[in-house]
Amino acid sequence: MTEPASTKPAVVMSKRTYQRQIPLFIVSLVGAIFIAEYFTANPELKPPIKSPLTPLTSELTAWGTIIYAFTLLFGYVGLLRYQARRVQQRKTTRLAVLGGTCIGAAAVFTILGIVLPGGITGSQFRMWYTYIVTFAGGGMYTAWVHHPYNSYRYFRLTSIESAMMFLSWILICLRELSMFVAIWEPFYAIGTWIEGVPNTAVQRAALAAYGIGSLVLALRALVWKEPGLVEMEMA
Amino acid sequence: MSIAVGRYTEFILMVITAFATYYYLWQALRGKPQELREMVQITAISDAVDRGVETGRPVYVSPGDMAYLSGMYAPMTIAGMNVIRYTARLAVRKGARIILPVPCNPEAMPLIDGIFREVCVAEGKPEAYKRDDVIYYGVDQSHHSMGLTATIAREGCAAAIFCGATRGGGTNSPAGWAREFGGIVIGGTARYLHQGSWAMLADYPAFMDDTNAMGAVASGDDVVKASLVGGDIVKLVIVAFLFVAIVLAAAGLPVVTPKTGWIFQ
Repeated sequence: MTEPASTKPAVVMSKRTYQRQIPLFIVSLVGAIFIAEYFTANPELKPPIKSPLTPLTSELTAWGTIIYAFTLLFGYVGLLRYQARRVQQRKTTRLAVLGGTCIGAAAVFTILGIVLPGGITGSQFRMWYTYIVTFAGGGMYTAWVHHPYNSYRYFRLTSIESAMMFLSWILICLRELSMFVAIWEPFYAIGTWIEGVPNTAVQRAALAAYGIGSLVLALRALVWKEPGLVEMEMA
Repeated sequence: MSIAVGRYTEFILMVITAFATYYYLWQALRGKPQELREMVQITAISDAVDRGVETGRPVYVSPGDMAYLSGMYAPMTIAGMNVIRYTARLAVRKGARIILPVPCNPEAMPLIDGIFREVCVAEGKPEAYKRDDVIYYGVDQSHHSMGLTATIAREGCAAAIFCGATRGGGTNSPAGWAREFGGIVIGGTARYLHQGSWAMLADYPAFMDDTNAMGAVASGDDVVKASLVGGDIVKLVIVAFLFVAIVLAAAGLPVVTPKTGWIFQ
Protein backbone atom coordinates (compact mmCIF):
# COMPACT_ATOMS: atom_id res chain seq x y z
CA MET A 1 0.00 0.00 0.00
CA THR A 2 1.44 3.31 -0.99
CA GLU A 3 1.26 6.45 1.11
CA PRO A 4 -0.72 9.44 -0.12
CA ALA A 5 1.54 11.76 -2.06
CA SER A 6 1.00 14.62 0.37
CA THR A 7 2.57 12.76 3.32
CA LYS A 8 5.76 11.73 1.52
CA PRO A 9 8.84 13.62 2.68
CA ALA A 10 9.84 16.03 -0.01
CA VAL A 11 13.13 15.25 -1.74
CA VAL A 12 14.89 18.55 -1.28
CA MET A 13 18.45 19.07 -2.32
CA SER A 14 20.34 20.61 0.58
CA LYS A 15 21.68 24.13 0.18
CA ARG A 16 25.16 22.75 0.89
CA THR A 17 24.84 20.34 -2.04
CA TYR A 18 23.94 22.87 -4.71
CA GLN A 19 25.84 25.84 -3.33
CA ARG A 20 29.01 24.04 -2.31
CA GLN A 21 29.41 20.41 -3.36
CA ILE A 22 28.35 20.67 -7.00
CA PRO A 23 30.32 23.89 -7.75
CA LEU A 24 33.37 22.40 -6.02
CA PHE A 25 33.12 19.25 -8.10
CA ILE A 26 32.94 21.31 -11.30
CA VAL A 27 35.88 23.49 -10.21
CA SER A 28 37.97 20.42 -9.34
CA LEU A 29 37.21 18.72 -12.63
CA VAL A 30 37.92 21.80 -14.74
CA GLY A 31 41.03 22.61 -12.72
CA ALA A 32 42.39 19.09 -13.22
CA ILE A 33 41.76 19.31 -16.99
CA PHE A 34 43.65 22.62 -17.22
CA ILE A 35 46.59 21.26 -15.20
CA ALA A 36 46.77 18.19 -17.44
CA GLU A 37 46.60 20.36 -20.57
CA TYR A 38 49.39 22.62 -19.32
CA PHE A 39 51.83 19.79 -18.72
CA THR A 40 51.06 17.47 -21.62
CA ALA A 41 52.13 17.70 -25.23
CA ASN A 42 51.83 15.67 -28.40
CA PRO A 43 54.55 16.46 -30.99
CA GLU A 44 52.31 15.15 -33.78
CA LEU A 45 49.75 17.91 -33.28
CA LYS A 46 50.05 21.10 -35.30
CA PRO A 47 50.51 24.44 -33.43
CA PRO A 48 48.78 26.27 -31.81
CA ILE A 49 47.30 22.99 -30.54
CA LYS A 50 50.00 21.52 -28.31
CA SER A 51 48.09 19.03 -26.24
CA PRO A 52 45.18 16.72 -27.10
CA LEU A 53 43.30 18.58 -24.37
CA THR A 54 43.81 22.04 -25.93
CA PRO A 55 40.47 22.10 -27.85
CA LEU A 56 38.65 21.17 -24.64
CA THR A 57 40.40 23.83 -22.55
CA SER A 58 39.72 26.45 -25.26
CA GLU A 59 36.03 25.62 -25.04
CA LEU A 60 36.13 25.68 -21.25
CA THR A 61 37.91 29.05 -21.32
CA ALA A 62 35.12 30.48 -23.48
CA TRP A 63 32.54 29.15 -21.03
CA GLY A 64 34.59 30.51 -18.15
CA THR A 65 34.47 33.96 -19.73
CA ILE A 66 30.71 33.70 -20.18
CA ILE A 67 30.16 32.58 -16.59
CA TYR A 68 32.53 35.27 -15.32
CA ALA A 69 30.52 37.90 -17.21
CA PHE A 70 27.39 36.68 -15.42
CA THR A 71 29.22 36.83 -12.08
CA LEU A 72 30.13 40.43 -12.79
CA LEU A 73 26.57 41.17 -13.92
CA PHE A 74 25.26 39.57 -10.73
CA GLY A 75 27.54 41.85 -8.74
CA TYR A 76 26.33 44.98 -10.55
CA VAL A 77 22.67 43.97 -10.31
CA GLY A 78 23.13 43.34 -6.59
CA LEU A 79 24.74 46.73 -6.25
CA LEU A 80 21.86 48.52 -7.98
CA ARG A 81 19.36 46.53 -5.90
CA TYR A 82 21.02 47.76 -2.70
CA GLN A 83 20.92 51.34 -3.88
CA ALA A 84 17.27 50.97 -4.93
CA ARG A 85 16.37 49.74 -1.44
CA ARG A 86 18.03 52.78 0.07
CA VAL A 87 16.03 55.03 -2.22
CA GLN A 88 12.81 53.21 -1.27
CA GLN A 89 13.18 54.27 2.38
CA ARG A 90 10.52 56.72 3.48
CA LYS A 91 12.99 59.06 5.15
CA THR A 92 15.29 61.08 2.92
CA THR A 93 18.66 60.10 4.33
CA ARG A 94 22.15 60.82 3.04
CA LEU A 95 22.44 57.19 1.95
CA ALA A 96 19.17 57.43 0.04
CA VAL A 97 20.48 60.48 -1.83
CA LEU A 98 23.74 58.66 -2.59
CA GLY A 99 21.77 55.61 -3.75
CA GLY A 100 19.66 57.72 -6.06
CA THR A 101 22.77 59.38 -7.45
CA CYS A 102 24.34 55.98 -8.10
CA ILE A 103 21.27 54.64 -9.92
CA GLY A 104 20.84 57.87 -11.87
CA ALA A 105 24.50 57.90 -12.91
CA ALA A 106 24.31 54.26 -13.99
CA ALA A 107 21.22 55.02 -16.08
CA VAL A 108 22.71 58.15 -17.66
CA PHE A 109 25.98 56.45 -18.59
CA THR A 110 24.14 53.42 -19.96
CA ILE A 111 22.09 55.72 -22.22
CA LEU A 112 25.20 57.68 -23.23
CA GLY A 113 26.97 54.44 -24.10
CA ILE A 114 24.08 53.42 -26.33
CA VAL A 115 23.24 56.68 -28.08
CA LEU A 116 26.62 58.37 -28.50
CA PRO A 117 28.57 57.58 -31.68
CA GLY A 118 31.24 54.96 -31.10
CA GLY A 119 29.57 53.60 -27.96
CA ILE A 120 31.63 53.38 -24.80
CA THR A 121 34.88 53.58 -26.75
CA GLY A 122 33.84 56.69 -28.67
CA SER A 123 35.48 60.05 -28.00
CA GLN A 124 32.28 61.68 -26.71
CA PHE A 125 31.59 58.96 -24.15
CA ARG A 126 35.25 59.06 -23.05
CA MET A 127 34.97 62.82 -22.65
CA TRP A 128 31.91 62.54 -20.37
CA TYR A 129 33.54 59.70 -18.41
CA THR A 130 36.87 61.47 -17.99
CA TYR A 131 35.49 64.84 -16.94
CA ILE A 132 32.91 63.45 -14.52
CA VAL A 133 33.96 60.03 -13.24
CA THR A 134 37.75 60.17 -13.49
CA PHE A 135 38.00 63.71 -12.20
CA ALA A 136 35.74 62.82 -9.27
CA GLY A 137 38.47 60.50 -8.05
CA GLY A 138 41.26 62.98 -8.61
CA GLY A 139 41.41 63.75 -4.92
CA MET A 140 43.17 60.43 -4.45
CA TYR A 141 46.39 61.99 -5.63
CA THR A 142 46.30 64.47 -2.80
CA ALA A 143 45.61 61.60 -0.40
CA TRP A 144 48.74 59.93 -1.74
CA VAL A 145 50.75 62.76 -0.21
CA HIS A 146 50.12 60.80 2.94
CA HIS A 147 52.46 58.04 1.73
CA PRO A 148 55.74 59.99 1.87
CA TYR A 149 54.45 61.70 4.98
CA ASN A 150 54.12 58.28 6.60
CA SER A 151 57.61 57.41 5.41
CA TYR A 152 59.05 60.37 7.25
CA ARG A 153 56.95 59.69 10.29
CA TYR A 154 57.16 55.94 10.74
CA PHE A 155 60.65 54.99 9.59
CA ARG A 156 62.53 54.38 12.79
CA LEU A 157 65.96 53.05 13.65
CA THR A 158 64.47 50.76 16.27
CA SER A 159 65.63 47.41 14.92
CA ILE A 160 68.07 46.03 12.36
CA GLU A 161 65.19 45.40 9.92
CA SER A 162 63.69 48.88 10.22
CA ALA A 163 67.16 50.45 10.00
CA MET A 164 67.90 48.47 6.81
CA MET A 165 64.60 49.52 5.30
CA PHE A 166 65.15 53.14 6.21
CA LEU A 167 68.70 53.09 4.85
CA SER A 168 67.62 51.42 1.57
CA TRP A 169 64.81 53.90 1.16
CA ILE A 170 66.97 56.97 1.77
CA LEU A 171 69.74 55.74 -0.56
CA ILE A 172 67.20 55.17 -3.36
CA CYS A 173 65.78 58.65 -2.69
CA LEU A 174 69.26 60.16 -2.91
CA ARG A 175 69.79 58.44 -6.27
CA GLU A 176 66.54 59.91 -7.57
CA LEU A 177 67.46 63.43 -6.45
CA SER A 178 69.95 64.59 -9.07
CA MET A 179 71.25 67.37 -6.81
CA PHE A 180 72.74 64.78 -4.44
CA VAL A 181 74.13 62.74 -7.34
CA ALA A 182 75.80 65.91 -8.61
CA ILE A 183 77.33 66.45 -5.16
CA TRP A 184 78.53 62.86 -4.78
CA GLU A 185 78.33 60.72 -7.90
CA PRO A 186 78.49 57.26 -6.23
CA PHE A 187 74.94 57.86 -4.86
CA TYR A 188 73.71 56.83 -8.30
CA ALA A 189 75.66 53.54 -8.36
CA ILE A 190 74.75 52.71 -4.74
CA GLY A 191 71.02 53.27 -5.34
CA THR A 192 71.12 51.29 -8.56
CA TRP A 193 72.91 48.41 -6.85
CA ILE A 194 70.33 48.32 -4.03
CA GLU A 195 67.53 48.22 -6.56
CA GLY A 196 69.17 45.72 -8.89
CA VAL A 197 70.84 43.26 -6.55
CA PRO A 198 69.37 42.91 -3.02
CA ASN A 199 65.93 44.10 -4.09
CA THR A 200 65.77 41.76 -7.09
CA ALA A 201 67.02 38.83 -5.02
CA VAL A 202 64.41 39.43 -2.34
CA GLN A 203 61.73 39.93 -4.98
CA ARG A 204 62.47 36.56 -6.59
CA ALA A 205 62.53 34.75 -3.26
CA ALA A 206 59.31 36.44 -2.12
CA LEU A 207 57.50 35.67 -5.36
CA ALA A 208 58.70 32.05 -5.30
CA ALA A 209 57.44 31.64 -1.73
CA TYR A 210 54.10 33.19 -2.63
CA GLY A 211 53.90 31.01 -5.74
CA ILE A 212 54.28 27.88 -3.61
CA GLY A 213 51.70 29.24 -1.15
CA SER A 214 49.23 29.85 -3.98
CA LEU A 215 49.89 26.40 -5.39
CA VAL A 216 49.13 24.88 -1.98
CA LEU A 217 45.91 26.91 -1.83
CA ALA A 218 44.94 25.70 -5.32
CA LEU A 219 45.74 22.08 -4.43
CA ARG A 220 43.56 22.42 -1.34
CA ALA A 221 40.75 23.82 -3.49
CA LEU A 222 41.14 20.91 -5.90
CA VAL A 223 40.25 18.45 -3.13
CA TRP A 224 37.53 20.66 -1.60
CA LYS A 225 39.54 21.71 1.42
CA GLU A 226 39.77 25.45 0.79
CA PRO A 227 36.97 27.19 2.69
CA GLY A 228 37.79 30.74 1.54
CA LEU A 229 35.49 30.99 -1.41
CA VAL A 230 32.55 28.73 -0.84
CA GLU A 231 32.42 27.76 2.83
CA MET A 232 29.05 28.37 4.38
CA GLU A 233 28.14 29.24 7.93
CA MET A 234 24.90 27.29 7.62
CA ALA A 235 24.30 24.00 5.86
CA MET B 1 51.56 12.11 -25.37
CA SER B 2 54.35 13.26 -23.08
CA ILE B 3 55.33 16.05 -20.69
CA ALA B 4 55.59 19.33 -22.61
CA VAL B 5 59.13 20.43 -23.42
CA GLY B 6 60.25 23.24 -21.13
CA ARG B 7 57.88 22.24 -18.34
CA TYR B 8 59.72 19.34 -16.71
CA THR B 9 60.99 21.43 -13.80
CA GLU B 10 57.55 22.93 -13.17
CA PHE B 11 56.00 19.49 -13.35
CA ILE B 12 58.45 18.03 -10.84
CA LEU B 13 57.89 21.02 -8.54
CA MET B 14 54.14 20.62 -8.78
CA VAL B 15 54.34 16.89 -8.03
CA ILE B 16 56.55 17.54 -4.98
CA THR B 17 54.17 20.30 -3.78
CA ALA B 18 51.12 18.11 -4.32
CA PHE B 19 52.72 15.21 -2.50
CA ALA B 20 53.79 17.36 0.46
CA THR B 21 50.44 19.19 0.66
CA TYR B 22 48.27 16.08 0.42
CA TYR B 23 50.47 14.15 2.84
CA TYR B 24 49.90 16.73 5.56
CA LEU B 25 46.23 17.06 4.63
CA TRP B 26 45.89 13.32 4.96
CA GLN B 27 47.72 13.34 8.29
CA ALA B 28 45.34 16.01 9.59
CA LEU B 29 42.32 14.08 8.34
CA ARG B 30 43.62 11.08 10.29
CA GLY B 31 43.53 13.20 13.42
CA LYS B 32 47.19 14.27 13.43
CA PRO B 33 47.13 18.07 12.98
CA GLN B 34 50.34 20.05 12.76
CA GLU B 35 51.43 22.44 15.47
CA LEU B 36 51.83 25.90 13.95
CA ARG B 37 53.31 28.95 15.57
CA GLU B 38 50.86 31.66 16.56
CA MET B 39 50.34 34.31 13.91
CA VAL B 40 50.38 37.68 15.63
CA GLN B 41 48.40 39.13 12.73
CA ILE B 42 45.52 36.78 13.55
CA THR B 43 45.63 37.14 17.33
CA ALA B 44 45.72 40.92 16.87
CA ILE B 45 42.35 40.74 15.09
CA SER B 46 40.74 39.79 18.40
CA ASP B 47 42.37 42.82 20.06
CA ALA B 48 41.21 44.99 17.18
CA VAL B 49 37.62 43.82 17.60
CA ASP B 50 37.83 44.42 21.35
CA ARG B 51 39.00 47.92 20.60
CA GLY B 52 35.95 48.34 18.38
CA VAL B 53 33.68 47.28 21.25
CA GLU B 54 35.41 49.57 23.73
CA THR B 55 35.52 52.67 21.56
CA GLY B 56 32.23 52.18 19.70
CA ARG B 57 34.03 52.84 16.45
CA PRO B 58 33.79 50.48 13.48
CA VAL B 59 36.27 47.82 12.39
CA TYR B 60 36.97 47.88 8.65
CA VAL B 61 37.67 44.57 6.98
CA SER B 62 38.37 44.09 3.30
CA PRO B 63 40.11 41.70 0.89
CA GLY B 64 41.53 44.74 -0.93
CA ASP B 65 40.18 46.91 -3.72
CA MET B 66 41.59 44.53 -6.36
CA ALA B 67 40.03 41.40 -4.89
CA TYR B 68 38.82 39.77 -8.07
CA LEU B 69 37.63 36.21 -8.48
CA SER B 70 39.73 35.42 -11.53
CA GLY B 71 43.35 35.76 -12.58
CA MET B 72 46.41 36.22 -10.42
CA TYR B 73 44.54 38.01 -7.66
CA ALA B 74 42.07 35.18 -7.01
CA PRO B 75 44.25 33.35 -4.42
CA MET B 76 44.69 36.62 -2.50
CA THR B 77 40.93 37.14 -2.64
CA ILE B 78 40.25 33.64 -1.33
CA ALA B 79 42.70 34.14 1.55
CA GLY B 80 41.07 37.52 2.27
CA MET B 81 37.62 35.93 2.45
CA ASN B 82 38.79 33.66 5.28
CA VAL B 83 40.05 36.70 7.16
CA ILE B 84 36.74 38.51 6.57
CA ARG B 85 34.80 35.52 7.89
CA TYR B 86 37.04 35.24 10.97
CA THR B 87 36.84 38.96 11.76
CA ALA B 88 33.10 39.10 11.14
CA ARG B 89 32.50 36.17 13.51
CA LEU B 90 34.48 37.83 16.29
CA ALA B 91 32.89 41.23 15.68
CA VAL B 92 29.31 39.93 15.61
CA ARG B 93 29.94 37.72 18.64
CA LYS B 94 31.44 40.58 20.68
CA GLY B 95 29.14 43.29 19.42
CA ALA B 96 31.53 45.44 17.38
CA ARG B 97 30.36 47.16 14.22
CA ILE B 98 32.14 46.10 11.05
CA ILE B 99 32.26 47.95 7.76
CA LEU B 100 33.03 45.93 4.64
CA PRO B 101 34.38 47.96 1.69
CA VAL B 102 33.62 46.22 -1.61
CA PRO B 103 36.40 45.83 -4.23
CA CYS B 104 36.24 47.93 -7.40
CA ASN B 105 34.90 45.05 -9.50
CA PRO B 106 31.76 44.23 -7.54
CA GLU B 107 31.84 40.52 -8.47
CA ALA B 108 32.97 39.72 -4.93
CA MET B 109 30.20 41.80 -3.36
CA PRO B 110 27.59 39.01 -3.18
CA LEU B 111 30.24 36.84 -1.54
CA ILE B 112 31.25 39.46 1.04
CA ASP B 113 27.63 40.32 1.74
CA GLY B 114 26.76 36.62 1.99
CA ILE B 115 29.56 35.96 4.48
CA PHE B 116 28.43 38.90 6.64
CA ARG B 117 24.78 37.85 6.48
CA GLU B 118 25.45 34.18 7.23
CA VAL B 119 27.88 34.95 10.06
CA CYS B 120 25.22 37.13 11.72
CA VAL B 121 22.64 34.33 11.48
CA ALA B 122 25.12 31.64 12.56
CA GLU B 123 26.09 33.70 15.61
CA GLY B 124 22.42 34.04 16.54
CA LYS B 125 22.34 37.78 15.87
CA PRO B 126 20.64 38.30 12.51
CA GLU B 127 19.90 41.89 13.52
CA ALA B 128 23.66 42.59 13.45
CA TYR B 129 23.58 42.40 9.65
CA LYS B 130 23.42 45.88 8.16
CA ARG B 131 23.32 46.18 4.42
CA ASP B 132 24.52 49.77 4.60
CA ASP B 133 27.81 48.61 6.11
CA VAL B 134 28.69 46.70 2.93
CA ILE B 135 29.89 49.70 0.95
CA TYR B 136 30.78 49.98 -2.71
CA TYR B 137 32.85 53.01 -3.64
CA GLY B 138 33.27 52.81 -7.40
CA VAL B 139 35.00 51.20 -10.32
CA ASP B 140 38.38 52.81 -9.94
CA GLN B 141 40.95 52.80 -7.16
CA SER B 142 40.74 56.58 -6.91
CA HIS B 143 37.04 56.41 -6.02
CA HIS B 144 37.64 53.54 -3.62
CA SER B 145 40.44 55.49 -2.01
CA MET B 146 38.48 58.69 -1.54
CA GLY B 147 35.27 56.97 -0.51
CA LEU B 148 36.89 54.69 2.06
CA THR B 149 39.01 57.52 3.46
CA ALA B 150 35.87 59.67 3.78
CA THR B 151 34.03 56.87 5.61
CA ILE B 152 36.98 56.44 7.98
CA ALA B 153 37.04 60.19 8.62
CA ARG B 154 33.27 60.34 9.14
CA GLU B 155 32.66 57.18 11.17
CA GLY B 156 36.01 56.90 12.96
CA CYS B 157 38.13 53.79 13.03
CA ALA B 158 38.92 51.22 15.70
CA ALA B 159 40.86 48.98 13.32
CA ALA B 160 41.46 48.33 9.65
CA ILE B 161 42.05 44.73 8.59
CA PHE B 162 42.94 44.68 4.91
CA CYS B 163 44.33 41.34 3.78
CA GLY B 164 44.33 40.40 0.11
CA ALA B 165 44.79 42.13 -3.23
CA THR B 166 45.43 45.75 -2.30
CA ARG B 167 46.54 48.67 -4.43
CA GLY B 168 48.66 51.66 -3.46
CA GLY B 169 45.85 54.18 -3.74
CA GLY B 170 42.72 52.09 -3.30
CA THR B 171 43.47 50.34 -0.03
CA ASN B 172 46.98 51.18 1.20
CA SER B 173 46.35 54.91 1.32
CA PRO B 174 43.13 54.53 3.37
CA ALA B 175 45.05 52.14 5.66
CA GLY B 176 47.41 55.04 6.35
CA TRP B 177 44.45 57.26 7.14
CA ALA B 178 42.97 54.54 9.38
CA ARG B 179 46.19 54.65 11.36
CA GLU B 180 46.03 58.43 11.39
CA PHE B 181 42.54 58.25 12.91
CA GLY B 182 43.79 55.98 15.70
CA GLY B 183 42.94 52.59 14.26
CA ILE B 184 44.99 49.42 14.61
CA VAL B 185 46.09 48.40 11.11
CA ILE B 186 46.47 44.72 10.31
CA GLY B 187 47.06 43.37 6.85
CA GLY B 188 49.12 43.03 3.77
CA THR B 189 49.18 41.79 0.25
CA ALA B 190 51.10 39.38 -1.94
CA ARG B 191 51.71 42.12 -4.49
CA TYR B 192 55.47 42.60 -4.26
CA LEU B 193 55.53 46.32 -5.02
CA HIS B 194 53.42 47.09 -1.98
CA GLN B 195 55.46 45.29 0.68
CA GLY B 196 57.12 48.54 1.69
CA SER B 197 53.77 50.26 2.14
CA TRP B 198 52.56 47.57 4.52
CA ALA B 199 55.83 47.53 6.44
CA MET B 200 55.29 51.23 6.94
CA LEU B 201 51.54 51.43 7.47
CA ALA B 202 50.54 48.30 9.37
CA ASP B 203 50.90 47.63 13.06
CA TYR B 204 50.76 43.93 12.15
CA PRO B 205 51.94 43.56 8.55
CA ALA B 206 51.59 40.39 6.48
CA PHE B 207 54.18 40.01 3.74
CA MET B 208 53.66 38.00 0.55
CA ASP B 209 52.88 34.39 1.52
CA ASP B 210 51.85 35.54 5.02
CA THR B 211 48.53 36.52 3.43
CA ASN B 212 47.91 32.90 2.41
CA ALA B 213 48.96 31.76 5.88
CA MET B 214 46.59 34.32 7.47
CA GLY B 215 43.75 32.93 5.38
CA ALA B 216 44.54 29.35 6.33
CA VAL B 217 44.98 30.07 10.03
CA ALA B 218 41.86 32.28 10.10
CA SER B 219 39.85 29.37 8.71
CA GLY B 220 40.42 27.61 12.03
CA ASP B 221 40.42 24.29 10.16
CA ASP B 222 43.25 21.94 11.21
CA VAL B 223 43.23 20.28 7.80
CA VAL B 224 43.67 23.60 5.99
CA LYS B 225 46.36 24.72 8.42
CA ALA B 226 48.27 21.44 8.07
CA SER B 227 48.69 22.02 4.33
CA LEU B 228 50.85 25.09 5.12
CA VAL B 229 53.50 22.73 6.46
CA GLY B 230 53.58 20.99 3.07
CA GLY B 231 54.27 24.35 1.40
CA ASP B 232 57.09 25.08 3.85
CA ILE B 233 58.71 21.72 3.08
CA VAL B 234 58.67 22.60 -0.63
CA LYS B 235 60.27 25.98 0.09
CA LEU B 236 63.07 24.20 1.96
CA VAL B 237 63.49 21.80 -0.97
CA ILE B 238 63.81 24.79 -3.32
CA VAL B 239 66.42 26.43 -1.07
CA ALA B 240 68.40 23.16 -0.99
CA PHE B 241 68.06 22.85 -4.76
CA LEU B 242 69.37 26.41 -5.18
CA PHE B 243 72.52 25.59 -3.21
CA VAL B 244 73.09 22.45 -5.27
CA ALA B 245 72.42 24.37 -8.51
CA ILE B 246 74.90 27.09 -7.53
CA VAL B 247 77.59 24.49 -6.79
CA LEU B 248 76.93 22.59 -10.04
CA ALA B 249 76.84 25.81 -12.06
CA ALA B 250 80.12 26.88 -10.46
CA ALA B 251 81.54 23.51 -11.53
CA GLY B 252 80.67 24.38 -15.12
CA LEU B 253 77.57 22.26 -15.59
CA PRO B 254 74.70 23.79 -17.64
CA VAL B 255 72.21 23.98 -14.77
CA VAL B 256 70.95 27.53 -15.18
CA THR B 257 72.22 28.41 -18.65
CA PRO B 258 69.48 30.60 -20.21
CA LYS B 259 67.08 28.59 -22.41
CA THR B 260 69.24 25.46 -22.58
CA GLY B 261 69.94 24.89 -18.86
CA TRP B 262 68.58 21.84 -17.04
CA ILE B 263 65.98 23.81 -15.09
CA PHE B 264 64.54 25.22 -18.33
CA GLN B 265 63.89 21.76 -19.80
